Amino acid sequence: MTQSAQEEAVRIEHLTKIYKDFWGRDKVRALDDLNLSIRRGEVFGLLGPNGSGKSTTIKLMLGLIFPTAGSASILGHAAGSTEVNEKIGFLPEESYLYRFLNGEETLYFYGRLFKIPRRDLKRRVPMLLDTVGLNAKDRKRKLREYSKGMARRIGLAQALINDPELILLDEPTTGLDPIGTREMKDLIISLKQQGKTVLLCSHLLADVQDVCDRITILFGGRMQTLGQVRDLLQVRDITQIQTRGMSTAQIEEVQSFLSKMGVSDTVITHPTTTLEDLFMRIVRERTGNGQAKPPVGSPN
Amino acid sequence: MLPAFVLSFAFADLWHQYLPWLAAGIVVVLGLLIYGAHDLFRLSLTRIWAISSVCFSEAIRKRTLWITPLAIIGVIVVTQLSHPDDPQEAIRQATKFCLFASGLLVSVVAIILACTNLPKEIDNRVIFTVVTKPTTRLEIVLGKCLGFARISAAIIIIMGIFTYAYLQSRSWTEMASVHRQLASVPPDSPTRPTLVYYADHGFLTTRRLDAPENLQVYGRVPDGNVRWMQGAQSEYFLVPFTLSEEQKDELQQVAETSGASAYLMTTLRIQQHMPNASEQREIKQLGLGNAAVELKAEELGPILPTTQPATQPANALPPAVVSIRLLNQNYRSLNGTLDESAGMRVVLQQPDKPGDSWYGRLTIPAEWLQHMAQVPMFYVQVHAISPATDYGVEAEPEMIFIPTGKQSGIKIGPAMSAQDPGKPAEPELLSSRGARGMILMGKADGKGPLALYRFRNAKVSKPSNGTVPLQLQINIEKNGEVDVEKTGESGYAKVGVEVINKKTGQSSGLIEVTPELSQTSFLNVPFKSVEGGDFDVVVRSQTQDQWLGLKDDAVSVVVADESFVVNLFKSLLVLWMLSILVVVIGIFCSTFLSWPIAIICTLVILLGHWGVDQLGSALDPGSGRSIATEFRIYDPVSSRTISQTFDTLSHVLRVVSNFLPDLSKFPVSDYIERGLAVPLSSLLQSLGVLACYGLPLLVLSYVIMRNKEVAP
Repeated sequence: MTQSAQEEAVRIEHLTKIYKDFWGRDKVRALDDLNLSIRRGEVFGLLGPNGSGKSTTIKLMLGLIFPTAGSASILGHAAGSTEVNEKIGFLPEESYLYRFLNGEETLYFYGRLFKIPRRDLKRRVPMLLDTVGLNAKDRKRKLREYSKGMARRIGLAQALINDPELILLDEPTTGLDPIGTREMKDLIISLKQQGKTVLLCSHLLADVQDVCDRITILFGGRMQTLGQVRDLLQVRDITQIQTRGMSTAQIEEVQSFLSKMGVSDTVITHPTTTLEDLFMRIVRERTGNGQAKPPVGSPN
Repeated sequence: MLPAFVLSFAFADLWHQYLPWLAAGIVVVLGLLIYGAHDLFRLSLTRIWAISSVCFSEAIRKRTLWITPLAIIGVIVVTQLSHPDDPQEAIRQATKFCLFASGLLVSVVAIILACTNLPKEIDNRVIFTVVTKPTTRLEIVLGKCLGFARISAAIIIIMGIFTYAYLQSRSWTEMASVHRQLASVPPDSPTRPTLVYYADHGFLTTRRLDAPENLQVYGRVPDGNVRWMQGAQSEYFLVPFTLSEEQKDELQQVAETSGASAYLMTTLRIQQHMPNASEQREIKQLGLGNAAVELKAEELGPILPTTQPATQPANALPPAVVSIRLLNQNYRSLNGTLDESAGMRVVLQQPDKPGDSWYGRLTIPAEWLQHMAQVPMFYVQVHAISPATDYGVEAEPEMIFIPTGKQSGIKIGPAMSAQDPGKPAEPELLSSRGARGMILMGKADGKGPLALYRFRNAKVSKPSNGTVPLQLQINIEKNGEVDVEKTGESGYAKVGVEVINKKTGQSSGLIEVTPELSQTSFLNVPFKSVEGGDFDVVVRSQTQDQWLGLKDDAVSVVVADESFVVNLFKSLLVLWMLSILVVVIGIFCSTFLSWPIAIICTLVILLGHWGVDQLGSALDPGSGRSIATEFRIYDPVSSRTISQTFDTLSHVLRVVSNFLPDLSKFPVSDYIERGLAVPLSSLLQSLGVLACYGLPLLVLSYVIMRNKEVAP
């Protein structure tokens, strides 16, 4: 294996998928000549509107569908192979799990598909359920009784059952409340810190912006842009100076100074926080005041 | 030429028999060992068991098993509503209902689960989380099969426990009734031995029976090479013919040549006696009369005697008449031959020397010849018609003769014997079939025809009491007109049974039994008459005009008793194997069809072979010609087109059905309901069909799944 191959978690070359009709005629070109490389240990975001080819890319990488042209290799093996599946975890966009099993049984079932010894499962299953925030009562309930948020959590737990090297998360925060969303993002960051590679597929841009190192934006089955989030978001012809505690007089003086320097279109204003930060701060303050923490994974 | 022909026929038979195995082997080798070698080596029992456990849990938690109490209630209701006279029959019916309900239940559940599971998992995308784990598609297919097989096993175990408990309770009830009857019937009652047998052995016993090798109906006990039939007693003999391609061509040529002819030659020994009053009546009814009969001799070729024309005087013996029919391999009239029901009558002509064979000749119409040339084999059936006449059948009584103008002509003899290919097949002596089996007409003095059940190599072990039980299932086809007051007889049918040891000549002596309709009776015979296993059982109707209905297995010898529980287990095992086959077919269909279509397709595959079997002779070669005739299509071109199209379709149906599983190879209740032990060979046969169809379908399911995009 070459040096670059060792550094690459995913390598996609000229990947194309054309859906055909009953008679074999081309119907939809869902993905068109995609070339992509994801490095080991990074959190990569796959962005795009509905129908842009995000899910098709994920399905091709997992072997759920087969490419019309091109290839994808994951962790050095052909996409869809059992060797790849040993090392990856997948959280689908909705929790497609057996609804007649309970939370624990679900994890035991998927654990046995990885041939994890029962002794290890006895240790790992409660730990994972704790990690995703399912309490002792919830983990004994049938999945058909789960709320959407709880289903996402158990879905995430099954994706992590094998301690994967690469985790594919398709719309991971869909259905989660802001606390759940924040926990999910914290978990992604924690996974990155553990050296895992994460491929995040979402159209919730704020989530992607918060956790991703690099992103690509797909549209019409084609890659539109690729790069570091920081670089892509930077507006190079606008300069921003931030400071704390300036009076109105001082602000006016700065404006006058900038005007003298010939700088036009100056806007001086107070920065706003994100709604998520505001929500989290309020919840933290309330919790700090002795209010009970809302149950994790409670129905939305 | 003949051995080559026999060999080619034998190979064709082998090819036909083993073709599904060959196809199955090719599919398994190509699909699994070559295409799927990687997945085969990665096969993990842990993963297969995990997937099967999910299938099992799903069925349990969706309350699939709740349907079993409904089946149990159904069985109890149906059995309580039926009132068979015979206690043994009551137990057998209950057994049949229980196993039928179990089979129906397990098959319906297996079809629904197997056909709906995969399409639904693909539809609701649960399969995403399974195929993205290190499970191969082979493990998924095997896991599903195992899961549904476990559900079938659970249903069968529940139904099996119920069946045993229910039969045991019925058995106790019936046994109490038997004990009450035993206390009331006189010691010399003909029903007593059967009641004693039930009291000794119980109803839930399984008998291991040895069946007779064959059944033939004779006019008298055979002695020497000539076997005798009695005239006007519905007796006949059958001679098989299998023509080579060359012989078929010869017949075809005769059929197409104007003025040419072929004959069916019959030679028989004839012994006649002066007809008594009742035989005189029959002679009148048959239109044979005692008028002078003109016996014509024709140019028959050198193989026949050159008898000059003679006239049989009036008021003497009736003419020796036979009726000849041509039958196809299913013993039905060869389509298109004339006079299909009654046959063609032929008057036999006396030989030159007394004691020689009589002979008869039937000119075969061109149309018959064409039919004979088209079918793979046919039988010539010769009925003994004349009363007061015994017909002696020799080793080769039938022959087709084509005159060629030369001395010898062309002679076509009967088919070779299956047991000894060097000899022609022996004619089979039988009698007409009624609603309840082969008819055996009765005469008051017991001098009517006799049925001879031939037992060879029966495994009879020495009993402690010196007697061996025979099981009789003799039916009454027609009641005789017995004047009870005048004769002082009971009015019941009397049947004489005699067992003759073929090695020692030891006879059991004549034993009279009184059979009742649809009842099993038992008879103890001395061990010496059956010792060694080679013996004949001779059955005669002893009552005037009483007709017995005899099936091929109406007489059997009880060689051992087995545990009923073991036998029930074996029957349920056969049912389980059948359910696994249903599951595999269901899963195979669901890999490429939506679930409603998969259910229909599964039913077609399961019932296809049976359906074609039910069509029976309607698909025989030459049936197309009958269809054209029935629809009154006389235009030769249209008639040929319809005939050939129908025959081609029939052939295609038969070929396709050969590739479909034969469900009759799963005898779930066939043995146990008759109180017989399920033989090991039967279990192996079921396993063979399961392997022959199950394995390749599993492999095909895997190949389809591996190439299937599971994301909708």
